[in-house]
Amino acid sequence: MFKIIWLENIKIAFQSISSNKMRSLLTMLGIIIGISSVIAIVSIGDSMKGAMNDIYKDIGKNRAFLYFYRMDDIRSTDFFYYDDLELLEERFGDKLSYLCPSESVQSDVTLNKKTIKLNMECIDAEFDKVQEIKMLYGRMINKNDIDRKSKSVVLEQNAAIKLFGKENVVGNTIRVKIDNNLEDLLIIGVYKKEVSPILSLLQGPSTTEDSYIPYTMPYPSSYGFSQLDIFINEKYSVNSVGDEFLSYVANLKNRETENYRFYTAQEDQESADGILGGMSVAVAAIAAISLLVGGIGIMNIMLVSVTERTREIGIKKALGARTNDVLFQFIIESAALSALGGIIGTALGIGLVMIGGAFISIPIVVNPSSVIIAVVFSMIIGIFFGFYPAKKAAKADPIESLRYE
Amino acid sequence: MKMKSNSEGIVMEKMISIKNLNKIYKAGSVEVHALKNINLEIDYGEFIAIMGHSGSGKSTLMNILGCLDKPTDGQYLLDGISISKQKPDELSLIRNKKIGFVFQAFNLIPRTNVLKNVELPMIYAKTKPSQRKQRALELLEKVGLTERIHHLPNELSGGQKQRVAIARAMANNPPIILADEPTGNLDTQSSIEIMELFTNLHKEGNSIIVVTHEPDIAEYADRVIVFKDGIIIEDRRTERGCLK
Repeated sequence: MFKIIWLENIKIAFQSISSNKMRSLLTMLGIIIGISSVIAIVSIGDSMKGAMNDIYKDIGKNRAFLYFYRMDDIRSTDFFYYDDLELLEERFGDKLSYLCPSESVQSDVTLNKKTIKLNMECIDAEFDKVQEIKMLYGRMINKNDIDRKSKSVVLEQNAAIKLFGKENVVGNTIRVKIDNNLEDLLIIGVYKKEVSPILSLLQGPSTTEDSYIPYTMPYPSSYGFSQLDIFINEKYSVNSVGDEFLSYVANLKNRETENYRFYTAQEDQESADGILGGMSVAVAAIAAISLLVGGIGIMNIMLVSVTERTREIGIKKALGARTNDVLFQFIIESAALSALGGIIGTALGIGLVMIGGAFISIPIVVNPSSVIIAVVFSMIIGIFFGFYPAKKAAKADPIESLRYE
Repeated sequence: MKMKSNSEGIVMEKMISIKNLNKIYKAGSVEVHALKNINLEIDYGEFIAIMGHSGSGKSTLMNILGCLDKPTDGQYLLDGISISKQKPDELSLIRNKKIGFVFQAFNLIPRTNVLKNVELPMIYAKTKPSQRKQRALELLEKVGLTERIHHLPNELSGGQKQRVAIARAMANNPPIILADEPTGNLDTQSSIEIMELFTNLHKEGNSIIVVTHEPDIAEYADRVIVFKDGIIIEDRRTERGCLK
C-alpha cells in the first residue's frame, strides 16, 4: 500500500512558501481578498441580523398593533371603546398577554425654568410583565392606577435628571397639558430605558423624553381608540392568533378583514432578514469570483514553481521519489499556500468588520462555522488549482529533469 | 559476496550482468544507436571507471545502469533483478534501494540543509526519523562534514558539496555508488580528496562506478572500461587493480 510522507511534505511546503515570501504573499493575495470579503460580508449580514433582532426585541418580539387600513369612510363604530376592549379580552383570554389602546400624549413640561418635551405613553397595568422595564425608584403603573384613572406618571431617568437634576424624584409632581387642560401628575416611579445601539443609531439623538401614564387617565370613558397594542402569549403562534383576531374584529365592526391591519414586529423582522440574506448571497457570489481568480493565480505560480524546480524534481526522482511523492509535495504546497491565504483573509475580514462595528457600536457576530468553511474552502481551491501543476511535475522524466538548467 | 545455489552447485552472482544490450533513441525519423550489443559483468566490490568521449555512449550506459532509463532490448540484471519491464514507480524504488547517485553538478536540494539532504533518500525509503538522523550523522562524520550539518548547499565549497552528495548516495546502503563525472566541477586538490574518499569507501567494501573522461581520475579505479561509438573498445585492469 502506498503511504504518503505527509509530515515531510508539509515541512517542504512551508519551507518553500517561506523561502519565497514576497511571491507567496502576492500569490495569496487573490485568496486573501476573496476570503476576507466573504468573511466580512457574511459577518456583516449576521451582525445586521443580530442588530435587527435587538431592535425587534426592544419593540417586543410577539407584539402586534391593530389599526385602520384602507378605510375610505371612517365611521364612529370603527373605533375601539372600553366595551370592545373588555369583549376582546374575554374572547381571546390567555391567547393575549396584554391588550391596551395604543396612544400617547405629548406635552411640554417646565420646571425651574427648564423645559422638556415629554412623551407620555399610555399603558395598561402589567405592561412590565410583557416588556422588560428597568425600574430605578418607586413602582410601575398598576391595576389600581388604571381603575382610579390616577394622575400618576412613571418618568424615564433622563427626564428626571433634566427636570430635577437628580434621579430619585418619586413623590414630586410635574405639570403637563393634556387635551388643553393643565394637570398635575404625581411621579410614582423612575425607570431606565435601555435601547440597543443600532436602534439609537437609527433614531438619532432624541429630542423628547419618555414616560408612562395609565391609559384610562387622559381619556373620557366614551373615547374611541383607533389603534390597539397587543402582546400575544408566547405559547401561541403570532400569525394564527393575528388572523383570528383580525377576522373577529372585522366581524365585530361589520367590516372586511382588509379594513384593518394586524401588524407584527415579527413579519417585519422576517422580511428584513430575507433582504439581508439575499444581499449576502449576491455579494458572496461576487466575492466567489475573486476566489476563482485567486485560484488561477495559485495555479499560475505553481506552474512557475514546478518549472523552476524541474531539476530538484529530477534529483528527487533519482533518489527514489515516486510519482505520488512528487504529486503530493506540490499539491500540499499549493493547498498550504491557499489555506494560509484563507487564514490571513479570515483574520483580515474579521478585523475589518470589528473596526467597522466599533465605529457604529454594533455587536459583531462572527460565525465560527463560516471561518472553518472559509479555510477549508480555500484549501480545496489550492488542491483543485494545484493539481494540474503537481501532475505535470510528477510525470516529469528524471533524465530530462536532471539535464534542465 | 552474494552466493546463489542451484542444482549445479554454487554459482557466483554478479552485481551487474548485461547481455546483448541495445539502446536506440528516436529523434523524429532519425534513429541513434547509442549502445550496440553491450555485454558487461561487474562483481560486488569492484571500483570501475567508465571512460569515453561525449557521444561514446557512456552517459547512456550510466542512465541505464542507474535505472533512470530502460534498454531498448537486451538483458540487464542488477543485484539479481531484471530491469526491463518495471513501471516508473518501481524503478524509483529500485533506485532508492540499489543505487547511490553522485553527479557532476552535485545536485543537492537547494534551500535544504546538509543533514536534510542526506536524509532525503531515507525519507523515501520510509526510515524512522530517529534512525534517519543517526545514519545521516554517521555518514557526514565519515565524509568529514560534522561541522557543517546545518549549512545550506550554497554555503559550501564544491568539494564539500560533493562530500554531502557522497554521504547522501550512501544513505540507504546501496550495492552500487554511481558517480557521473564526480570531479568535473572541482579543482585539482578537491578532485584528489574526492577520489581518495571513493578509494576509502571502496576499501570498506562498497562497489563504485565512476564515469569520467579524465585518465587521471580513471587511474583510481581497479578496472577501466572505455566506450567509443556505442561499443566497449577496452576493458582492462589498472595498475592498482593489478596490485591486488
